Amino acid sequence: MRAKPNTFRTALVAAALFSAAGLGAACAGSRGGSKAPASRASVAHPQVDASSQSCAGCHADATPQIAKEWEAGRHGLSLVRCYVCHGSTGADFRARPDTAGCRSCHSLQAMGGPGAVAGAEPRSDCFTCHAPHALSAKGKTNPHAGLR
Amino acid sequence: MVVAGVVIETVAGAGARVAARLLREPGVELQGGDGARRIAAVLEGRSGETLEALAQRLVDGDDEILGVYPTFVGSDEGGS
Amino acid sequence: MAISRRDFLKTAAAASALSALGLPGPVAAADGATKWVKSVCRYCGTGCGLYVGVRDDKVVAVQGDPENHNAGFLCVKGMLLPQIMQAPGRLLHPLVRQGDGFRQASWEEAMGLVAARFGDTIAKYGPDAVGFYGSGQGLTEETYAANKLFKAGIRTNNVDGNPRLCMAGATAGYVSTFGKDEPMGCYEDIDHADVFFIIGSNTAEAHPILFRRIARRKETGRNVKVIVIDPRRTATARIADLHIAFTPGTDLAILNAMAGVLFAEGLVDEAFLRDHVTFGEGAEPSRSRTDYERLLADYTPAKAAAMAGCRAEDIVQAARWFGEKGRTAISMWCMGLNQRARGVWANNLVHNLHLVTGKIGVPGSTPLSLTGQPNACGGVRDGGALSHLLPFGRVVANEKHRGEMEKLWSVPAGTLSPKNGFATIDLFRAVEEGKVKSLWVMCTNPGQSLPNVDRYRKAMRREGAFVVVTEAFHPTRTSELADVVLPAALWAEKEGVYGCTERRYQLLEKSVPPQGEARPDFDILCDLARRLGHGKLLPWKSPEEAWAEILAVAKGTPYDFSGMTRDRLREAHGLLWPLPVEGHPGTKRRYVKGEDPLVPAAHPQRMKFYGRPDGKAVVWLRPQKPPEEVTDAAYPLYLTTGRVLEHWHTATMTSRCKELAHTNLETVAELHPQDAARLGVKDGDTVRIASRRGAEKFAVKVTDASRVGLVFLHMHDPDRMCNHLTIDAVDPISRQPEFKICAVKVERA
Repeated sequence: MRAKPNTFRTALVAAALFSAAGLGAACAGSRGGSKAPASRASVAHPQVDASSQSCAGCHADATPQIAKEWEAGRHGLSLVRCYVCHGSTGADFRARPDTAGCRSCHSLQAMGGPGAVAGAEPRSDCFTCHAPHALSAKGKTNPHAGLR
Repeated sequence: MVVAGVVIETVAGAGARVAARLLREPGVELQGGDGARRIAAVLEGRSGETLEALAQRLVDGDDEILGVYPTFVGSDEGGS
Repeated sequence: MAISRRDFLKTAAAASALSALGLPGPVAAADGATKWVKSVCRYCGTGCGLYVGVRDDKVVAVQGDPENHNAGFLCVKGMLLPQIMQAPGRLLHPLVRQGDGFRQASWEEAMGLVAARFGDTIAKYGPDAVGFYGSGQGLTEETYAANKLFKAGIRTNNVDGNPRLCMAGATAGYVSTFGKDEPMGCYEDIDHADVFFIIGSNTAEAHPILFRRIARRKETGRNVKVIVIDPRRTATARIADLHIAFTPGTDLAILNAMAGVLFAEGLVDEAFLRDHVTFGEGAEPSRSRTDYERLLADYTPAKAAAMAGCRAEDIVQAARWFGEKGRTAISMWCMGLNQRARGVWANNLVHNLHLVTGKIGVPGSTPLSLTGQPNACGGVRDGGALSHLLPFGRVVANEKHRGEMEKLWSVPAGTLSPKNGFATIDLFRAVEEGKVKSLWVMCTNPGQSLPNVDRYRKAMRREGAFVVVTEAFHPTRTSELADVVLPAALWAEKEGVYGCTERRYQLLEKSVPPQGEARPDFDILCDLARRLGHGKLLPWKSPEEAWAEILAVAKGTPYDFSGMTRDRLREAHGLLWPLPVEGHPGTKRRYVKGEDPLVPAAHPQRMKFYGRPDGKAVVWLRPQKPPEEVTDAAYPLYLTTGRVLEHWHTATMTSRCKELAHTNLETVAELHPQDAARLGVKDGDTVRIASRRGAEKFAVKVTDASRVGLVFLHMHDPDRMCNHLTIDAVDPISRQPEFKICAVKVERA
């Protein structure tokens, strides 16, 4: 492939972001910086007709390994389908789920102990121990010991 | 740990296809797009050089990516 | 605790990139200023406890309650509840009909109009010319208020509700077998069951949190067996050790055949039969065991299998697993048994299996009917808000019961009408005929959910009919037909009690103020009462005040929960009745000596079915009878209806959630590949399905989970209503319609 110019560095220099450390936001000075036309917010997920097919139907072909892992795991059994963690294929699509969402259904585990619910933030990134989709846990000890 | 908000410019109409490929790219977190030729993303890497190299790799490795333009850069030295 | 710097940076980075594209940024991370209010899910009869997260008077999140029976788990519908509260489509102001549309009105004008019209109707045509159609989603205090106003104030028993479409079969089943309504077991029995007998329930999609508990038990128990009886191979059947598919309507034969095997193979509990069981036929408990065994002789496995289109050895296997000595067995069922013209009989036959084996009243052994709605049990069934009932086990037809209620309600003797009112289908037929001229519809959507719906939609728009609908959303398929639509407060905007499947009553605390001009149904009913001159009957300023009266009315009845003070409910995470005194822990297993405070300590046996005069349960002799409408040459396929995971009831709430709006909202026709081939259709093609009552077009989904000769449609889609096709034939005992079975023809469109 032909080498292309490093737009990233060019834009950084042009916008004097190169030495920015911490706060500071500036739009890149090149053509990427102007506002997009005011069209409807669209998807980072490819455009698909989600009403006629479920996520699983398409992803069995598009991402078969992931689909298999999900189906064989706890979320597959309990029908916690793709959109629960990833949103719809619309503007709310999120490729990486926000683990704060896990708390809705796993408040016990997310809080790190029974009884501690209101006010506390999730203890850590659930995906540190739980493989995405298969959700099997890595590691020897169960920090949620005693919980269902 | 350096974090950059970027706009990824693609060939007209290729936005969705490029986004699909970027889903598997480590260090790239998609945030949204205009559906046609611009994708908003967050890049994460160890250092500014890492991010530059990542951006270059994206541009070089995908004919439909025209450019990766940062809109924000922040550094998290010593943070979690 | 503040968010991490890294998360902050990423949020800022994302916002920056998105704003460069002119798109809205991601939601900011929580800042720790969220208030959590204890409550219960708005949706199904599982009754999951949860906390509502509030910030700036808005519901921003929910979390499952770890200390409630659901152990912190929620299904996707409950998880997405925050999105329904401020969805566009919330009704914010009263509406009054103007031609084919509506105009906005003030509360004063709308309520004035309603009170005048109801008052005129009553004055000119008598109390029975008006009616109330309520809901298993109303809070207990709201339903209680409506019941009292109409029965004791207006003096009509035309008070019914959508549990008539849903649980009436289970209610009449429990009442005829055990003397009083409601399951005697609880969710904890799931954790002790060795055998799960799931019939007419797609638990995985309709009661997901209970399904999770069943699946967990299967993993952790010893050789746990799951038997699923369903014409379709549903998502629930994924964990089945045995799935019996059968021709719709023939499950009565299967259940009788199972009982026959239990007797033939010595799996019955002789002592239990002797001590706790009497036998009956029709409505009389005056048969003998010999009579029963004679009936069962007609239902050999081979004969039943031939009737049902299944395998005899499967029936035998199911019976053997269920009956195995020393193992516990729990039955669970839902609409597959209740929404039938012989629904009460189907319920009786499931109870029979438990009674002949004695598998009842011990941990893990119980017939546990699954309730569809969040408060069908607490509000309508227990509360007696049906046309033949009075609160807490009392019935209209019983003079002593009427006298008790007249005293409790401080109304003169003879106030309560001794005549049963109209049950739901009869009520809407009365509207059709002009017998009922003014109808109040609270918190339900009959314009979509009634069987043979076109007939009753016409009735509601009839010249001379005056229909008032209280709703949180507009338009719905019912509010669009109304004369007055009143904006109702929704779920977290009001407080009150819900009672779910396992006799668990729980308090929903108010989290946020109502949207727009919406008011809680409790307030609206008290307002109506005052305007009709019955303010003395509904004098309360809050649901909490009404609760004190409700406790007094329940005291001393077999549904006694008078120990459940408001404070106790606030502090607890649900309480199971009977709970007859403050401080009592509640009752997990009813009718069991030592557990149920209403069983005398000196009772000689381990159980007493004190709802019945002789303390014994009845094994009813019920023959196989076909559904009201069977297939024939003109209409050669069976239609059955049901639910999917993502949506609840008529989807007025779930369709507002981003993740759910495009997931399974559209009703598609599920056809077996053989039927699809014969019709020349494939996935995505359009078919026209017609019954004797109506027709509609649907896209096709070909699946071998269906059965040859059976098409499935779900009930949620307001634009493709399955109820154009369904039949409004009812069970003669429960008056519940047979949504589950009718005959249709399917053609390529």
